[in-house]
Amino acid sequence: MTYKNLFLLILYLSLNACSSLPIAYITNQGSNTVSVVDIKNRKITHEIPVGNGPVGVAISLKQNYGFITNANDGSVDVLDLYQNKIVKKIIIGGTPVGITKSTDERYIFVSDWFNNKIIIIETKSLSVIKKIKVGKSPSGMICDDQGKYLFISNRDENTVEIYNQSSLSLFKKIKVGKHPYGVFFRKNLLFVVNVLDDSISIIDINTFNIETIKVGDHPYGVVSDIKNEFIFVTNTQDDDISVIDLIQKKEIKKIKVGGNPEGIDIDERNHLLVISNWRSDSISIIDVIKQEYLYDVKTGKQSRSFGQFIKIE
Amino acid sequence: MKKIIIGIFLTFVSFSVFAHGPSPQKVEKSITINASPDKVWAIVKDFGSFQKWEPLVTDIKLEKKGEDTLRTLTLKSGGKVIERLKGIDEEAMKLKYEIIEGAVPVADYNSFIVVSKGSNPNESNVTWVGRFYRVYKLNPPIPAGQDDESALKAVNEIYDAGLPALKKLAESK
Repeated sequence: MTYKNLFLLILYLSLNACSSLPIAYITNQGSNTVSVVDIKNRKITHEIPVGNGPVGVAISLKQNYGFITNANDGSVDVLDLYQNKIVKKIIIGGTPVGITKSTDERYIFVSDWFNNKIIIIETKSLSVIKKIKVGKSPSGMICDDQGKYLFISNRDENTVEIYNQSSLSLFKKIKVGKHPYGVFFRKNLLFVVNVLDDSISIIDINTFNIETIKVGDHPYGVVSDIKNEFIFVTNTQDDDISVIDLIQKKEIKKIKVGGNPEGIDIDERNHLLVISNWRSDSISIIDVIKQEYLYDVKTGKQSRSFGQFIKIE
Repeated sequence: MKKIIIGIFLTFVSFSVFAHGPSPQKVEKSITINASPDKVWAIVKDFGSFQKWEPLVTDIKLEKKGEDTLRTLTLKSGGKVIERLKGIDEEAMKLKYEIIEGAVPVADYNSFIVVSKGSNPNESNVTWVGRFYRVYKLNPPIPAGQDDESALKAVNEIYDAGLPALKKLAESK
């Protein structure tokens, strides 16, 4: 190799290291694995065996762990993001579905669907430190970026609960549509999908004003763009996503994706959406700015990825 | 007394439709038919004539309820099932429907049947897909007949009986 080539190689490698490489952690219910997907290079880099019926994902960059809920065997797997392997299985019993990290990433909250509880895992010790009773069938969860609140959707009682993140005391309970599931929070707005109403509820947590907007058939997941101008909702039974304009407060576009899209997350740096498709065993990538479909990447079987599942290096 | 019976019935309905297990189940079956897509689609989209190509259904009653189109199936095994037409997409040749309630041991069952072109003008492919949950919503032990296996078995039986019969009907006409 000539010096010039060597120089170019080093330049190339260092440029690559500086650019942000989004990695998606996709739970595959049908193959009991997590697919680690390099979004830009469109390929699976690792396929990691996990527990039975993996659904939810939370990524803690501070701790370098991914947390996976296994709904069918009552466990949470801890994935080391450097080594790409499971380093601990935390048995919590019940039916863990939703999962999210606290704002400071010191804790992981897990929703136990059928026991109506939230299990709190400490990320340092990787052990369960507390359980609290919440509403019926707690599903989606997310925290605000100030560290004040934990939001929970309770599927079987059609409510959203807002807990004080540090004291874990109930701050407010709000009625939403039928079967609230996926949730997302940005700025002052909490977004909740109502699966059986084919709608989303948008709650302003300063005024507690609620607006409801129609979307497609059986919506599951929702995210908003960085400016809170648009939201994107997966419609599981329509094989598309709804693009909602938050100023006009209505759906302005539908974008076709794979079969039975469930989980959705946003890569804010690269302006990409990643959607996991349960029926077609793939993820679909969408350009957030152009609001256009880009490409699919094959994953394991029955991909779900419930929660925030993208890591940006 | 009547009110109590209705009450019990409604409890059963809301239980079987709204609550379900944590992981959805999938059945996806396809068949190739030696008939044109138009001909096959005409049979498939006729929501009220399902019994013509589903041997497990002995009788069918089609009714309109407000904006909803419903069909009540009488199964060969004796039970009844109420299904709702969710949409007919002529361009995609795709019919969507769901189970409202009934004797099939599933919860939140959503399905579509799609007809696509085969390798020549006189050939079609039909794909039937169901996404649904087991009936039992709580933690194990799961009562017999309400687990994932029972749900999968029931749907597999319906699809396995229906698709060859659809092929036979479309090819004989």
